[in-house]
Amino acid sequence: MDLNYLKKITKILAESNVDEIEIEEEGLKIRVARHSQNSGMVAPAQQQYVQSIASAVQERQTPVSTAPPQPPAPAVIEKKYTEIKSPIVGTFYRAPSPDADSYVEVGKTINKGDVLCIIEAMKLMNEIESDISGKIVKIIAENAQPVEYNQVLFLIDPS
Amino acid sequence: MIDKDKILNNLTTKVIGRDIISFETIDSSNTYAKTLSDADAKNGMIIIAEGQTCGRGRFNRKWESQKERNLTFSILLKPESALNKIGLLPLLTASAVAKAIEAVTNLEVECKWPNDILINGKKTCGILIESTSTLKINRIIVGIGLNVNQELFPDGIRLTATSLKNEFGKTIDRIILLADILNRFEDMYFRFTQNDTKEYLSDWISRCKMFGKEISVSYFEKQIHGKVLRIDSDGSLILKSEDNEIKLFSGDVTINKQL
Repeated sequence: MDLNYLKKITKILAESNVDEIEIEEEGLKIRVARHSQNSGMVAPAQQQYVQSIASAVQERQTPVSTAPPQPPAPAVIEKKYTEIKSPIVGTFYRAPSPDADSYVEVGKTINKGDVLCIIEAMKLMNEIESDISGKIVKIIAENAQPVEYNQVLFLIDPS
Repeated sequence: MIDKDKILNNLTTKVIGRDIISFETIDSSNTYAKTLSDADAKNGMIIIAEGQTCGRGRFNRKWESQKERNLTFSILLKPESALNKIGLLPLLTASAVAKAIEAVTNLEVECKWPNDILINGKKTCGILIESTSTLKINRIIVGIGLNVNQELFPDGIRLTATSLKNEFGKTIDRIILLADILNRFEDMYFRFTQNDTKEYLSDWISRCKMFGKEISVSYFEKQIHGKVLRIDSDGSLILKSEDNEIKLFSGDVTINKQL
């Protein structure tokens, strides 16, 4: 993955009126998305944004013959996992209140309908319920950090 | 006891408030609405109680209300569209409630980001909106706790909380006020589902006195300070902090005392 290429796509997105760009070539799929229309985004939000792009790319990468021999194994495994995405922009919380236990941890088996997290937007508390049963493989979003619309929050291994 | 017929006789709505579940006492009308099965949960239904034993705000903070003097109720919604801008709903709901209070009492009603309603600088109404989603939002529960005829408040909140009666000076007909809130809420919500937020959002902005003021926001363990610039189209608060513009989706706001 050429980081300059990614930077170019991010720049095209930033200068355009569209919310999402998806490119697929030679088995490599990149999706860059934004939700905010506010051009003057802050440093922490930008940082978060770049991190989310980076993790999204890593998860979607399918090794091709010309790819450098970097750790391809996790990418192959992650391909079969189901992504749970955020339906709204807001703040991601792993627990119902600051002193409560997290809804889920990595390795936990979950059933369809179980609550995975809360996204808060302007004090509206949205619980995200899993639409599948399985096991939590990875928690991508960080507690109390902003998440974008359609950002991947969890990876689930369907049972 | 809640007079359901009187509510229905004062409604002009199509769906909001057409199904009413009422209780003398309940733990929390929001919790009840959340746990209703999908078959029992009707779009537009309201759950209303004279008293709540576990009334709550965000992060399970306690909401206390004197029995038979106030309005504590939840509106249950089952939206069909995706509602990506659902973060606007707390502001739009506050506007609908503020308009109703103003119509019934003539009091000047102030809105504070994102969901507080103040009269003469004191909190009068709490709004707790909870929703559940899988791939899209399936159910929204709009919980409203409005201090109507309560006269005495506990020591801890006496300086920061008030009721309509304390500010207006007269006892208010709670059912007439409730019906007015529901009528306005439906108008607002129907527009919102059609992406028409202009009227209620501009009403909210006209009631908000935060613009240009220096505020502090507690956001988890952090404190952010800055000057309020504007409300973004998604309902978030834009602050100017040093040379950055900060976009906030969460946090408890304190308006700094002006020097």
